[in-house]
Amino acid sequence: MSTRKRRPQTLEYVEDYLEDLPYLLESEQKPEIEVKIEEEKEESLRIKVISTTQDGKRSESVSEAPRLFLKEVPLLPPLIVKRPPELIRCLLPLGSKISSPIGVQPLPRTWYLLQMPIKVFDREVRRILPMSLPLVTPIFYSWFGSPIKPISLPGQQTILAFTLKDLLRLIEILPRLPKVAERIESNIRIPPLILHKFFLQNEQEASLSESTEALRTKAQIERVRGKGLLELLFPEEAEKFKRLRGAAGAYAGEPILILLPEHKYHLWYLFWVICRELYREAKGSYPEPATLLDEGCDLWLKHQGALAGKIVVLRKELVEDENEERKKWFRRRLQEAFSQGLGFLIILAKEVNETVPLLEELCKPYAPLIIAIQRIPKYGQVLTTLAKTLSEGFGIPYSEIIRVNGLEARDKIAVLVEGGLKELPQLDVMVAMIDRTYREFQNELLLSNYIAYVRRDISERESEDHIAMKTLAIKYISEKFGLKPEGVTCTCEVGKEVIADLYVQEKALAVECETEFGTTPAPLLKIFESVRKYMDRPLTNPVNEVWVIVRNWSAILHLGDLIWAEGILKEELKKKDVKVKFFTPDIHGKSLKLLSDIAKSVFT
Amino acid sequence: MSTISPDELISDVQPWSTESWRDFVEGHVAPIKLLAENVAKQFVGDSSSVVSKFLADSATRVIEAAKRFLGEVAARFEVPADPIECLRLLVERCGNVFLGVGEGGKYTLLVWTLRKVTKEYLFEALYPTLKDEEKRRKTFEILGIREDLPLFVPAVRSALTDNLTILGYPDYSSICRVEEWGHYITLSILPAKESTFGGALCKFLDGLVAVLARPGILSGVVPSADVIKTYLDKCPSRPPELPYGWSELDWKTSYITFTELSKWKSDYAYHISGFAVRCLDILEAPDKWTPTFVKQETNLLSLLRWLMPSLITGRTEMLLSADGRVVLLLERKI
Repeated sequence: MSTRKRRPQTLEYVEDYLEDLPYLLESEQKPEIEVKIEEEKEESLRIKVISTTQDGKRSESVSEAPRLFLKEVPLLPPLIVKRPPELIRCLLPLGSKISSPIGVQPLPRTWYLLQMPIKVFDREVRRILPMSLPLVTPIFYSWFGSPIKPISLPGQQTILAFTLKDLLRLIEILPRLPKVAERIESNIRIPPLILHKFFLQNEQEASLSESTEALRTKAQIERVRGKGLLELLFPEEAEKFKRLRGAAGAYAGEPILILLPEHKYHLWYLFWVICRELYREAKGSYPEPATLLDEGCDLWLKHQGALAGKIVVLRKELVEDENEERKKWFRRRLQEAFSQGLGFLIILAKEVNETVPLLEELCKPYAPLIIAIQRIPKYGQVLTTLAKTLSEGFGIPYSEIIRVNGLEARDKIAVLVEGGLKELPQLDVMVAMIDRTYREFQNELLLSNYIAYVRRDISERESEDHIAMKTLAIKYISEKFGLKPEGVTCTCEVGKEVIADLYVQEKALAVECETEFGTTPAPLLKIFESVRKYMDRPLTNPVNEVWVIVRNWSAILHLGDLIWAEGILKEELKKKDVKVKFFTPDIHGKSLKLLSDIAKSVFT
Repeated sequence: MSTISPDELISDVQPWSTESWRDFVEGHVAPIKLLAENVAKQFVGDSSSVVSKFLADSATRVIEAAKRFLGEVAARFEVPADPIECLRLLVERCGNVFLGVGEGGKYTLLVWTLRKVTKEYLFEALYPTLKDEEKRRKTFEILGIREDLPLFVPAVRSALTDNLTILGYPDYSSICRVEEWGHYITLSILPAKESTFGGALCKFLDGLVAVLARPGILSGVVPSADVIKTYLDKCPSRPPELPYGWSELDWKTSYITFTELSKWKSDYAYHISGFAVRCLDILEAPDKWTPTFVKQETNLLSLLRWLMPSLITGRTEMLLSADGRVVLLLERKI
């Protein structure tokens, strides 16, 4: 007997039912009734019957049953068992074409027998009367002498029997009985297993509809506005960098004090280069650099010391209390800064928080612009973000930027990246390499054959950057559109007081190269002006598209603002059906790269 | 577009290899989970958020189920900060893991074809490779198919019983409770205790379809091809030998309508009694039947053989009562 019991609880899950299925099948065959012999008596047995109901309840009943005994039964004479008649195998008709002629015999034609010649006798016996015979000729008597001659009666015509109308109909609808076939065959008609091949589809791409693209651009512009390289590297200090870029661009009338945590990995070098670029944008010339990290501090403070037009790197330890003379000179130089032009003083301090009040105290009564950077992310994160941004912004492969082959041990560092240790170049090595590559690319352009098609700007202050960018643009346009370089006009007047850096007649394309060179205050205004002139002023040549090319350092420092400016200008010029695109040089591809593409990969 | 035989498909996917599944889960499912979570969060209130939430939840269940045989699962994907880019990437990634699309689509196609399949069709026609004891054991163990817990066993003692036994994932809509019967029948889909990897992936696929239908702001993303329509068009259609009793299953909304505890009502039902199958207009006890109730009479072998090609590809769907006596047939549409 099965020992398995059906569970009393309600079935709620698939598995409950599936587990129960085989049990249900089993129990149909073997009801769960258990029989036990409780007591064996001489004449009877005490039997206990235990049964389990479907809901799991057990019931028991006890009864007595007489013991089984043997009874002698007289033997019966042997039975003659006849073999039963064999089953006749039924042969069934085959379905397709069965001919079934009528099995009824045709109606027999009825024939009536002709009667034999009838002999007519008079049954009445009469007295033979004398017959008086007339006198007849001998011939007459000879007639009598002849035997009795038969009498010929007229024969009936053949009788035709006709069936009654109703009877005839009955015959017509007689069932046609099938003819039993001699052999029946049967074929299996079960559907076969059918297998189809599966279809594979190519990978698909998804793009945005026009309205969503516009929405995305707007959202992206708002999201990235004010963000650049520094904000990407030190996101927690983003607000302070906005002040740094703003101060360098908008007013540019005083030195800026930058406080950095002293870092063993030369973090200051990046700031040095950035300050150089900001100064260049503001003033249109290179600042004078000075590093006062070790010796020579006293001499510099005493004899040079003015911060305007310089980028000075100073270690805080050198101007602390121990050396009163040096401290006095340092105080004096800071106080003098109230009436100087743009300059940068980068102070490296172990405790940035404590240094801010010290500087404020030294400057009094002058209140300086101090930008104190306190929270630096993990060095590995700074390095990878920097490498990625520089790679995108300059168009140099990422693998090239993080390559450590050939570097000395002090120029590389193992950092934790994505859970694993990875060797990367030091930050100053990375920045220096990019700077070097950019300058070499610039030189390459200035020495290329395309320089022959470049005309100088009407401004006397045209920088080498500006010329190099014009050269690159001519190269790119002629290659992209399959034009001869002569087809690209350099410094072309396309309208009243509207001069394009480059103009392509065939494409109605105007190109503006923006080096952001000496464009303060608000360098971004220069770009707005460069593009809006095609909308505001009357044109003598058609312009359907305006390209703005921004140099790489400026592009990555002001990336968010440039994307924002591009969005606004696009909307404005759309009204006149003029397209606007912002580019930056792609050093590796020796071509131009869309700023929006850089923003896409840098900010996502 | 190209074709692939089921045997080539299984050789490509190697469902018995855990490493093969790791590549699929980490490279396809995990990024979709992150993207869907992001979209669900960014666009709360929009209908795109609802479908994304479902997709993210089902992807989580897939990953949880995968952890049982893969251990830790890593997500090798960084979600873009731009929410619109997230939308675009979500649609693109969903399309590229849909049935038969690209490399990821091979995995989903294989899992999908094992939802509900007779042993006969599985081993004789579809994947004879799985006759190999070791490969079958590993594959079934990973996907969650249990031979000792089939979805349906014919209630006859016959040589055909084993052949017509239906295997599949208990947690993908299949076994139901009969709620009402008579002039119409109502089945409610029973929930499963545990989530299997295969079942979770099938629900994940329903989520993919819901996203690819692009409700709400997702309509602003334009995929280069309509992969769902193309797939359904190429699938074997419902068998013409079974003309009665088809209900329509809208794939776009099946993530809420074809799930546990949802109810399915039909005017017709297929009644299985031993080996006999009858399509009935009115479902009553057999002793109350009159010939007018019976719309069609057939047998279990024919029914399942007719049904299999369209059932495994998902063009049709089958719901079974818990006692295996009532079947409801559905046709998937978009």
